[in-house]
Amino acid sequence: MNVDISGIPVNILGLVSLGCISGFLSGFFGIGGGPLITPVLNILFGIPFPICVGSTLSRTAGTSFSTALRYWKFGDIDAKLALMMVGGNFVGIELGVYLLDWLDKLGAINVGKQSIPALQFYLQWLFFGVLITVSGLIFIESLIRRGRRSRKQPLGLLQSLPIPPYVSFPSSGVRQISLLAVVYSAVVICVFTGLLGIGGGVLFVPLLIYGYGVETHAAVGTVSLIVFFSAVYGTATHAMRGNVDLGLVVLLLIGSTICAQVGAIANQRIHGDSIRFCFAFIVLIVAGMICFNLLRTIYG
Amino acid sequence: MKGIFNVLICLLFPIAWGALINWIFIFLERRTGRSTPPDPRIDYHI
Repeated sequence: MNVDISGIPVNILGLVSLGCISGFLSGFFGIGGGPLITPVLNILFGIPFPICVGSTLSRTAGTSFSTALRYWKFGDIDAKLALMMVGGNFVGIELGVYLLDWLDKLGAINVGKQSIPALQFYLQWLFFGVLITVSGLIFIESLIRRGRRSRKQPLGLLQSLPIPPYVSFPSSGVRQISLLAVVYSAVVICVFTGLLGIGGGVLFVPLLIYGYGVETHAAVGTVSLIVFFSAVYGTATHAMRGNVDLGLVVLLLIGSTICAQVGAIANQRIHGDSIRFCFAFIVLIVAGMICFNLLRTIYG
Repeated sequence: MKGIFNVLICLLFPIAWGALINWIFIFLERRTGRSTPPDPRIDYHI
């Protein structure tokens, strides 16, 4: 049984299954799953990258909203920090979407013996780089956790940046940090949101903890709200360019919403460090899949 | 000319937005007479 996604017949069960797997991973690891879904939709189902990016962002808007509500209830969200980054998020997303349009207009390029869209070739390389970086960050974070004896919060690297004006985030434990460091780091990360359709959670959490020195609980909660704002704006921007396929979003959300609960239950029964290593392993598998596809394109 | 304007917007808008949000929060804290309480779970490094 197939459904038409921007002119390409795609198996409904396949999409629901992908939604289930991504939902389980979201619930299990507490990370949106955007970096995993977008390349899989493109490589396995053959859906064009702009549609994958727009639709994945739309799905992320739905899942991050429920996550943000949960963290708001727990009091883990620093609204001041999240709202302050919104301006940077919007600019970053616009730049990312502009880059996506520019790559799309490049047309086809010759790679090896075949001609493929430049957008597909370059974005696959970019995804490969992002996924390798993410898995590396998770491994490094696990090693730091093991090596750290005291439970003291690490001092944020960006806190020492001597560029005024300064702002403070008392509820996150940040006494003073440069406003420029806060807003421009949001711009840089959100370029990836607009370009690749990733919510940015995997990049924002380490930035807040090790860059700003935000306490871990507050960082995870605040990032859920930041990702929600980014995903909503990203969805609107991509929807105006016709990059959001509602059918695809609904099919992904059906599986995601159900299996996210199963993932959250499974999360309670497994140790945190094991969860991180599992996630890094899954990210590496997807990176391997992209690498294999690229090598096949180049040498096949 | 339009390109320079776009670059300026990209550079200045995030700072202006951040400064505005900061000012609003400071204004609200002064008006209500209280600041955001520190999280008791945090082991402050300073």
